[in-house]
Amino acid sequence: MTGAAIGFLVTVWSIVFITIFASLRRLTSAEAMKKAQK
Amino acid sequence: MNFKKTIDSAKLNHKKEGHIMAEQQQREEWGSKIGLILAMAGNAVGLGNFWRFPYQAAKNGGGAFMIPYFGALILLGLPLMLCEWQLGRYGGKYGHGTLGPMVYLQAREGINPKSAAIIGSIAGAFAFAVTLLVNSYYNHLIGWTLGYAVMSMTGGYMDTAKATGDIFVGYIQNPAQVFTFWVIALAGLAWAVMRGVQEGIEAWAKLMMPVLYVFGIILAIRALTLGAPVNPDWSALKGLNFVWNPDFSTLNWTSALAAAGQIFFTLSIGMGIVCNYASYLKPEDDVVVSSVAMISLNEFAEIVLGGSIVIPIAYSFLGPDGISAGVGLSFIALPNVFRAMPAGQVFGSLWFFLLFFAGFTSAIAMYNYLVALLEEDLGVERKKGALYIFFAYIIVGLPVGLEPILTKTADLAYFTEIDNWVGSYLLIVLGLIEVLVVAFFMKEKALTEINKGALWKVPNWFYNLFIRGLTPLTLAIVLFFSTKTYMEAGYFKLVPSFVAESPALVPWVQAARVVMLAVVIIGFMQSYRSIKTKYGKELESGKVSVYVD
Repeated sequence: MTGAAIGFLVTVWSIVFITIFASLRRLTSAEAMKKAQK
Repeated sequence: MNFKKTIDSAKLNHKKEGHIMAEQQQREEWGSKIGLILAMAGNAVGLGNFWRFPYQAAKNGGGAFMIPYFGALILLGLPLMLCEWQLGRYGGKYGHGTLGPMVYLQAREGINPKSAAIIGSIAGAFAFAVTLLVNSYYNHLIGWTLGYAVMSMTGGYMDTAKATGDIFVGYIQNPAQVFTFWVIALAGLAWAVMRGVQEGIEAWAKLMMPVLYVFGIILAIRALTLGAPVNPDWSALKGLNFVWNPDFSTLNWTSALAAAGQIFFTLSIGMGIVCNYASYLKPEDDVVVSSVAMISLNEFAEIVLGGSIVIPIAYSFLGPDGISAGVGLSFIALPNVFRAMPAGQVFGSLWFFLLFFAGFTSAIAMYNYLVALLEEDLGVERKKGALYIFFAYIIVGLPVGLEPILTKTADLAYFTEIDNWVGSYLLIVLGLIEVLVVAFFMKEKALTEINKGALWKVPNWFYNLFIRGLTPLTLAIVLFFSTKTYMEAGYFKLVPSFVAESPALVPWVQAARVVMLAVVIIGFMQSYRSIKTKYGKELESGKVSVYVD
């Protein structure tokens, strides 16, 4: 694989993984907080 | 029942002067956030991720395709997704799960109710056409994947003496195989939808989506560790390089249009089905982080898994020419690979079951849209509604299954005509209607609605720059050039160019056109009736009077 391809792949995959992690974490922590408040 | 919510006079406790509250509505709700996100991801992750994306990327230059693809994701995908979640949650508050009344409710904020009803009815008609007719062939595709999954397990295509192309043609021309797996898939969908949002759709998504991701990860690891089994120049990593090498010199308008089309198809936007799922949210539920989670899970399935399975496998066994096999990549090219691979039957089964799960969780969304329509507008109970839609899909799906059997061809002209218009062109038109209504009729109220209960807030600049600027502009440009491309390809002709040399297929294309026209007219009348039933006084008086706080 060329350096440009590796760079492009790593950048995009990292954005996807970070976004999944951050969004799911935010949603689940908000739901847990709501449950705790009830 | 705990999953029912009631919008009644007790909840809508402050009656505004001169305003009539929406009548009592009972609607289901999602059971949990994870269930909702998996159902939404299941809605988006479909055959488009694993079957359509690889051949679109291969056909349009690999890395050259990825650049406009990400451009379209940011310019169209995210803003439209926010609009659709907002449209759906807002409509759900008024007891609507279908697009016609949802668009009406937002359009009436900027124009008089009569004009808003016309726009809502057009949107409703298109969504009705998409959910009824796209599923008419999509259900067949799911049936094929199930049939091929069974064939993988039984070794049905492993005989190297038979060409996989001939096996595929033999499959779609065999009524017993085609109709058996199609009806099994449809019955599974009916059963899931009958059980309701929480116990049916959500429960299936919680089971199927994790399995789908696990199968995808196993297949991706296998694909990337294949090495170069046939030719030292054809390695799996070279296939991956083809997808990710950002070659700006090969960028062109055709790949940009294909990328925009792929974004609509993969995210299930411009169909009304995201709005339908969002209608089962509570009024204060977040839509911003949920949209982002849905998109990122979809992109994981598409660019990480979809991009790492088909193209590397096809490249390592078939070389650079093999990856441009188009729609036949999954059903014709890959079975060749599974024949040659160690434990090919196992990996073939995993691949076709993955496609089946992906298709199934998307088809449920289209199915549920129509059941919601029957429930809300005609008062049909969910179980009966699911049964009626089962038979409706049998009727509209019959021509798709019968054409290859009766004509002894494999051109799928009826399918192609429906896909060209309802499965591709209409999505862009509907997306444009939605964003225009949200941005220019609902105006700033739409941003307030999007940010209501949001765990991350959408800033003003994003709303003004994208939803009120770049997104509708880009959509208008895409629509203009799509129309030009369609004209050049001869799709507007009385006898479209793609069947001009095959007279036997012309009646199938004309039948598809009659069906599409009839469905759009019925959809328009049904949507208008639905709006008029609930908001008739507004249409008569020209003043907005029905509000749910």
